Amino acid sequence: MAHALALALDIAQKRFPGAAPLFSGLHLAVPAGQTLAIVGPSGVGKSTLLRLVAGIDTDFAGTIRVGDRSAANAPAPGMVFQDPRLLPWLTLLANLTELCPGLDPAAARAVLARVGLADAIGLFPHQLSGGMQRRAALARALAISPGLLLLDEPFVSLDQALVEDMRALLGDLLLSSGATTLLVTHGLEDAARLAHRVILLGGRPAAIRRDLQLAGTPASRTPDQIAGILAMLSATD
Amino acid sequence: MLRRWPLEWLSVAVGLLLWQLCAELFPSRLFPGPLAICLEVVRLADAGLLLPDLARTLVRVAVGFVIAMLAGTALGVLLGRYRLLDRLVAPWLLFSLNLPAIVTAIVLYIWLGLTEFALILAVVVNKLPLVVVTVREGVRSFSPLYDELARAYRLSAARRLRLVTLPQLGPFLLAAARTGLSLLWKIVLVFEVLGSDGGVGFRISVMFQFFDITGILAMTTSFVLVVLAFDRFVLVPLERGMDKWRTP
Repeated sequence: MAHALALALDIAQKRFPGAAPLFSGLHLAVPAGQTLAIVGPSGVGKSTLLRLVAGIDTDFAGTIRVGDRSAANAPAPGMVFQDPRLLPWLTLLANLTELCPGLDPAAARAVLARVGLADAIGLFPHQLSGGMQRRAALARALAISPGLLLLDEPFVSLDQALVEDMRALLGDLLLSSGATTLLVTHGLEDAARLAHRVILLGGRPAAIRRDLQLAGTPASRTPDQIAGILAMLSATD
Repeated sequence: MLRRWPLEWLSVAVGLLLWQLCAELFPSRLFPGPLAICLEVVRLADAGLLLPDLARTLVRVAVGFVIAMLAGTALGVLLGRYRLLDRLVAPWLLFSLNLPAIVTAIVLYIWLGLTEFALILAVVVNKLPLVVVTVREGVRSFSPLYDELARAYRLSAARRLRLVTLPQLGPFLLAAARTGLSLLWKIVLVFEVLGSDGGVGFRISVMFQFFDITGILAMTTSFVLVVLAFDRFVLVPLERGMDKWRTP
């Protein structure tokens, strides 16, 4: 388990050419080890925010600190994109070992076994189902033992039964990982079950409309508490 | 794959048989059959005339091929990545793609003399634009999503090249190699006919003086067989290795 990293976002402005600013004066602090769910309508800038934090997009005014470093210079986060984005020419095992230098095959096998893919390590991505590819992407993100996990709608386009399986799996993995996590999601239930805190983004430039600290911890929440949180989130959505 | 082989071999065997029959029915010094050509290949090889010429041409093809592939790949990657550079080079590329090979050879022979350097340079100049265009299109087709993945996972330049760039570029490189190779050896032969002191093309030009069509076809057949062997034993396995992940 890696040392969880605190986040400090101070985005003076982020805009794409020819468009109104996406963010202007956005400030957000995430303590180490917290799971923060980011909820908001499509196009509000949730994925862009993750890309800024990941250090993929450095074209903005302001600062983003991951631990004591800038986002672009911070250690690789465990990133799960909206699509699984496995390299199709590598086997499942190689997708982990090659992208996570220093990860030995035995450790990679162990991570894949944790997400239920122990029997698929020699397969290529196109030989896996959509759900298996998602789990593989999650395994890759966890394989680098990240201090920061960035999850961009990890359950998108999965059927309901698979979403519930994946959500339970992710809950277990987040608990054992201990990493600071940003979870972008459209599903309020994902937030209610997995997060310590939820922010609702809205408007243009996008602003934090609500910042809610959820009761209890994700692992200890009872069904009643989850129902209460869902009701609260639905009312503010 | 295995099922296709007998049909291919059958087609070749029937074609050769028909050719041989025609040669028997209409015997002429100017229309040798495949059997006569095979015997001529053996005779030329025995006389020590085949291998030295074959080797000289092969070296020219190999050197021209390697230089054109390396320089063409580097330039193609740059043009695929940098739009401004592509716009600057595009008219020249179009011009060189349409430049007749024979003109390049003549101009370079006049400027540089009938030298090995001029011959190789002419070969490279003719082959290079094709590689550049193929690789450029390959680079343009790269998925930006994998670049994003590489940046997120902080892949070093060398790892990015090995894991992201080359696997996407591979099929285009192979296409450039295969189409280029088939053109290249023909160009080399023409240039050797035009001005050289050895090689398959040179030998064919000598045989042409004597209307020695059996010798011409024997030399040509030998060279085609070498090129086919290269394709079958080098390029095809490479292609299979690259496509391994696509197979179900």
